[in-house]
Amino acid sequence: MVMAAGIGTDIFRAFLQGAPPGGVYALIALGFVLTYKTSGVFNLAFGAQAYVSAAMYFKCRTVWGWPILPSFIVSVLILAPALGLLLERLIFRYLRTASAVAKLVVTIGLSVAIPNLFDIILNFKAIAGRTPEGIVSNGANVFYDPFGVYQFSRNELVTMGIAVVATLGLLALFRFSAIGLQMRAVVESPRMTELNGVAADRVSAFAWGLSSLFAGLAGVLIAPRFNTLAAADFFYLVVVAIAAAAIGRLVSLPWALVGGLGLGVLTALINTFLPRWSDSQTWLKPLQDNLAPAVPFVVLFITLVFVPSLRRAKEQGDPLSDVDPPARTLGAVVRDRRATVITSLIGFGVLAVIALVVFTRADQRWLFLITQAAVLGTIFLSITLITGLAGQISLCQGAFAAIGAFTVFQMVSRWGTSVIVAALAGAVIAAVVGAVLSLPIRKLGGVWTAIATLAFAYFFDAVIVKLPFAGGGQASLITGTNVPRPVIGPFDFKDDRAFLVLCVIVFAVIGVLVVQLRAGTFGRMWVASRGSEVGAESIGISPAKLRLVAFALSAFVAALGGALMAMLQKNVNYGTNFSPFVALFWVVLVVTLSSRTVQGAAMAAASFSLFDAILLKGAIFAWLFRGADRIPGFLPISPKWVFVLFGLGAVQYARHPEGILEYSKRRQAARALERRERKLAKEPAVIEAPAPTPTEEPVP
Amino acid sequence: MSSVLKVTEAKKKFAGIVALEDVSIDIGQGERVGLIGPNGAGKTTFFNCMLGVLRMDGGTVELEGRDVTRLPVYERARLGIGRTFQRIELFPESSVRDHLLVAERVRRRTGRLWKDLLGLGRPTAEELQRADEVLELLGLSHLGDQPIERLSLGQCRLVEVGRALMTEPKVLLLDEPSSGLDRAETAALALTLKEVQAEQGFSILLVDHDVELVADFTTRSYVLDFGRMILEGPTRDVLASPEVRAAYLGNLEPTP
Repeated sequence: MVMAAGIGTDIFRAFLQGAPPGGVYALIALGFVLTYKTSGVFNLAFGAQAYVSAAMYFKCRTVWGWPILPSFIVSVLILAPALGLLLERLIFRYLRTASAVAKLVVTIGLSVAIPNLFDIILNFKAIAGRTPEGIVSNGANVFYDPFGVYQFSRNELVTMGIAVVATLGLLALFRFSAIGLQMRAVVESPRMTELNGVAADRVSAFAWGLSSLFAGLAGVLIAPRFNTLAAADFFYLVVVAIAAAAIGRLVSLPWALVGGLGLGVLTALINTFLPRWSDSQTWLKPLQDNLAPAVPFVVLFITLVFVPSLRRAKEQGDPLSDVDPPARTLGAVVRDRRATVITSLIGFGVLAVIALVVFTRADQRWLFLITQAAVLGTIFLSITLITGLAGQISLCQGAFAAIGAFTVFQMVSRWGTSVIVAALAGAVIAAVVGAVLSLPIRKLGGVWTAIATLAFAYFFDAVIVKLPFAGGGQASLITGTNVPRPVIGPFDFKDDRAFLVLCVIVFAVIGVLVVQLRAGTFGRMWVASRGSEVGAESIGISPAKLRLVAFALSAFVAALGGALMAMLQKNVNYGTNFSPFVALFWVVLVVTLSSRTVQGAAMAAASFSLFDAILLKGAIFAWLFRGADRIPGFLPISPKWVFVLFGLGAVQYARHPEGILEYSKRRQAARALERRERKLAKEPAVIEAPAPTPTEEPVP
Repeated sequence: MSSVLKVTEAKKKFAGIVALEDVSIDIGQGERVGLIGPNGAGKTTFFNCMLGVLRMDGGTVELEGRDVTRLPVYERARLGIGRTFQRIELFPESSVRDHLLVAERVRRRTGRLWKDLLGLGRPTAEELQRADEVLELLGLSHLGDQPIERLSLGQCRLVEVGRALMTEPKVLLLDEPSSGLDRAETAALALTLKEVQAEQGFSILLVDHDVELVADFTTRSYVLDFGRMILEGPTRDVLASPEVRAAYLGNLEPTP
């Protein structure tokens, strides 16, 4: 009897303990659902918006020492809605009819760009170890214990209260107000709504302002839970919020609230009970600390896979979306063959010169950066495969790469396996993981595939990395995850120049294979399936198989690149190299430049590795004017500009999914064609009718 | 005349509402069969059940005597159920010829990953030849290299037909081919289809609103109304029957 009462108390305590973080999750989920419901945008940048308000509040309160109220007004009531309105006015207004996947990519870019831009503008730097303050004085230190089992802090109570009030307010808005009804109509079809005389622009601007206010509110309320303010933590929170929102199928506000609270409580329950079971069940031990933080991702993944209405909710496009032109082909396809040959010859010539200079002149630092670019290029080719060729957005390429790196670390340190064999083994393991991962998500639409892979990436991050047989567990924190350089026959790649050659060769080989694949059966089936999945099915193409092959190949390539990265740095360095937030930036870079071509992957890798060193630190001026003292005074500028520039560059994905490189090629080709036609027009004899001749035969 | 596509007592419910109630159809070799019915009669539902897009709650689908009820869409397509779409479902990044080539490769089942990686995955001379033959047949030869965005709707429909033909279908299901086309375009499409069918000998099931097209194109028709097959027979008789008039126009009684 005593025993039973004990368990009852424990469960009750877990409920109370889980309620405040649950309320936090619910708040973000509400804001997220609000954006989704009213503007149809799957807003991953929601975390960035929350970060901006939290950082602003921190700056006002802690750095400038303002009182609570003005800090709150500036950061939440003014800055947050302003940011939302700005995003709507400058970006999302023009993307209303874009596909859901395109909008998702834009928000991924923004979630990288916004926090960095804020940091640059306000010269903001989080103070490490300084916990942000809440919106009530002494919120973390005053406790109330209404039931005698759990002490609520003042911050926690305020958070829960605000979550409840906000939900009720939102529900009332949607149910009872004219603007609520209009917001719902705009989601269905902005064009239809406009035809009915509603100013869709104004409605969606209102929605963005409101949801951004939510983001700001959530950000400021959540901040006290972190030791140090970091944009990555806020991104993580959005993924948690998506899990909560997914329980409500992303459209139900009350269910989002329930989902958020539920996640909080479930986590608390696991935290309470798992340690007790693992006393008797020793195999649970390694999971004990890591399972609780992974709960939202497991829930998210399971929800995506097993809730049929989500699975079936493929992109429900705007009923009037047919009026938009279809996606573009590769620049090379429309371009004159001669022009293509000439540019690629010039390109290879420039590369040869660069290679020569690197080999004769580069010091260790430059060698490292350039080798890193070659290795990243290999990893980015995995994004070319999955996104450029197969048309899926995968956000777990970091996890695949990490599998390669960890496999080399484990096999070499445990069994002394050859480094090359271990790297190949890692690639095969990753390919199997990729293939298996593709099975449960084979029927998900584009956006949901992206979210499912993100859930997997965070699950990997929270659980797998911490396991002794994968990331090395506790021991690796002390001893590190050492990875040696390979030795092949007479070649010892300890030498940095030799290793660079190896990395370039791997990149080139995989690049050639990608080109072959694009021209082959699978490449053409991917083009078909990317264009119209039902169309592809109608001629006997299995979408599930295509997806499986794409994920397996992509994971293989990513893991190979990951293994090379670990060899380059002689350490896995999971956090800086492969964490989900880092991998997010990879996708941004590649889709911004060009996800379709090998050249795009190479340029993206060069940008990641060298943009800061060459342009922002001004090395290029030192080379051009021969002397380090000739670098202009305004340099170096913040390396954060890389994130801002490319993050904002991803915005163009919605209009030009082929990327900046291909877009500029197409434009040049179009101009050349125009010039030629103008020339022809002067000699009327050679004019050809540009319009396609009709095929229909006359009706008898 | 042997049966090519046979559906027996198809049943389908959506959240308790009966969409199809024991609907049966039987299409013989080389036949041109029509399926008509007013809006909401269940034509599209039935169409999707035959193709495997929707799973039936009861009944069977047989293709040349083989039960395909449990097979997914793409396997039915491989076995010989071809289709076109009411809303064009072409591949926006492919040229007209590419559409046919990819279908041909899938039919031949010669695509292998290792061949692709070795650069052996490009279209073969045989495949190119067959694609050109079909383009010729449909009168699309001069458009082979054009991207889809340059084509008219009627031409897009023909490309869909061509893509389906490459799979060597035993039966071709046409989903409202006349939608969006004017009278002349529809007639031209019908003419081309008749010619091609005469040469290749597959069967056609035409689902359409355009009574004139159905009358001209099909020899036998089925009429679906409120989820039930209310009539079946030679198209001429079916279209003249009072049931069809009632189904299409409603009972011609003065409203109170």
